Amino acid sequence: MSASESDCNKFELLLDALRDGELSSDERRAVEQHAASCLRCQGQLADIERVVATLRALPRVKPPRDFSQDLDKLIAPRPRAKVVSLRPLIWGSLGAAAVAAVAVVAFKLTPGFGPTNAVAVREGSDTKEQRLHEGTPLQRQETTTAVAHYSDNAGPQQAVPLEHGSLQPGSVVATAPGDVQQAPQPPADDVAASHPEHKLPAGAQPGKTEKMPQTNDQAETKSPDKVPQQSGPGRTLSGRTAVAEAYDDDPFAGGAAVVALASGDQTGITEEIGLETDEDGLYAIKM
Amino acid sequence: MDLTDGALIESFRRTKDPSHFKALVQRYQGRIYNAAFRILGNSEEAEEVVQDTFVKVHQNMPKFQRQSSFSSWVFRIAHNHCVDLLRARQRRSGFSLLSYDPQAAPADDESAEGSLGVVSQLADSGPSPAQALDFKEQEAVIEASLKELPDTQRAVVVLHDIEGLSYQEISEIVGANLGTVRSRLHYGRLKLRQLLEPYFAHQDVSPAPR
Repeated sequence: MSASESDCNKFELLLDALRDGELSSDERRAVEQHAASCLRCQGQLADIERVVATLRALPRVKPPRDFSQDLDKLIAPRPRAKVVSLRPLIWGSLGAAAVAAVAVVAFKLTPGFGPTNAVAVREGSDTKEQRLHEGTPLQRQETTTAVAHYSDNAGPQQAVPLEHGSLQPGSVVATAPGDVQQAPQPPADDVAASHPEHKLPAGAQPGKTEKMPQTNDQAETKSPDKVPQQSGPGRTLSGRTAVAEAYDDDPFAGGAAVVALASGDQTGITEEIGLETDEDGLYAIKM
Repeated sequence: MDLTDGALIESFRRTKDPSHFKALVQRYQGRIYNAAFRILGNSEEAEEVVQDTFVKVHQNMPKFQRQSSFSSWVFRIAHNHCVDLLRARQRRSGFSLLSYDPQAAPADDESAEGSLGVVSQLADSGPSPAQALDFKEQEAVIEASLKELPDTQRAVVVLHDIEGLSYQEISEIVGANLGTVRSRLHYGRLKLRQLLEPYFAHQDVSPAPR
C-alpha cells in the first residue's frame, strides 16, 4: 500500500464530515490538504455530494392530517398502562443468591474443607473466646479469628491487649499472643488519659496477654449471649476504632488470617467480638 | 413575530394555554412526520409516531430541561418511537427475513451493522435503478435504497441529509457519540452510493423542487 493510499484510507472517513463542515479546524486543514492533491478523494467528495443532493431531492412527505386540530387527543390524560410488578421475581432471585452465598461461606468455614479465607467475626469470636479460656494455642485453628481493637491513640501497630476478664466493651482482645507481644504498646496511662472512659481492668498489664483461667462459667462463655454478662459496667470504648492488620508471618494455619473490626461509633464492641451483632456491626473479613 | 420554542414552552407551562402547545405541534409535526416516514417507510406508522410523540411531549413538558433544545428533545422522542416500531417489526417478521448479506463487508462495527439486517427485496421487486425513467421512479429508487440501509445508519442519514440536523443534535437524538454519528453517516452514504451507482450511471439526478 502506497503512502497515498494509506492517506486515503485514513481520510476517507473524514470526507463526509469535511463536506458537512463538521471537522475541527486541524482535521479540516489536514483533510483539505490531502484532498487537494488526491484525485481519488476528490472523486469521493463528488460522490458524497451527489448522494446528499439525491436525498435532498426527495420531496417532503406531508402528514395526512393536521395533528394540531386534534389537540384534545394529544393533551388528554391517558390511562396508565398496567404495570406488572417484577418485585417477586427480583426478591426471589436475591433470596436464591443469598442462600447460595451462605452455602458457600458455610462450606468455607467448615473444618476439614480446606483453608478458610473468609472469617465471619461472629462465628470466629466464639471460637476465639473458647480458646482464650482453654489456653489452647490458636495455631491449630484453621478458622481462627484474630480480633484486635485499637484505641484512637494506638496506631495500627499498637495493640493493647487485655487480659481475661477484660472481654467487655472497651477492651482490647488479642488472640495471637505472639503478635500482640511484639507490638509496641503505649502506656496504659496514656490510653486511660486520652480515653478516661477506656478503663483497663485491674491488674491488667498492657502488652501482655494472660491466659484465661478456667472458670465455672466457661461453658457460659461459649455462648455469645452469656459473655456480655461478664462485662463490667462502664467498660465501653468511645471514639473511633478501626483495625485492620494482617501479618505476613501469621501464625494462623491454613492462610486464614486476620480480622479487622471497624466500628464507627464503638457501640456494641462486645457484640462485634461475637456476642451480639447488629446490621452495622458485623464485618466479615476476607484474607 | 413567531415566538421561539423556549418562549412557547415557558408560556404553556405558565398559562396552560393550549394555543402555545398547538403552535409547537404545528411547527414540528411536518418535520417529525417526514423523518419518521423516511426512517420507517410507512405512512401509518409515521402518523402513529407523530401522534405519540406529541402526547409524550405534553406529558413530559414539566421535565423538559432548557439546556437541550426543544428540537433535539422532540426528535429524540420521535426517534425512540421509530426504534420501538422497527424492533416490533423485526419481532413480527422473525428471523425468516434476517439474512446474511455477503455484499456488506464488515470494515468495522458500524459497517458490520449492514451485514445482518432486514434485507428487503424492494430493490429487486420494484424498478431497478437502471430502469428508473421519471421522477416518480427516481423517488422510488431512492426510497428503496434507503430501506436497504441498516436502521441505525438510515436514521442518521435521514436526520442529517434530509432534516438537516447537525452531528451534535443527531448525537443527542440517537444517543450515540459524535464519532458514531460520523461513522454511521459515512457508511450509510457509502452504501447508498453503491446502491445508486447504476442509477447514477444512467442519468443524473436533478434535484426536484421541495
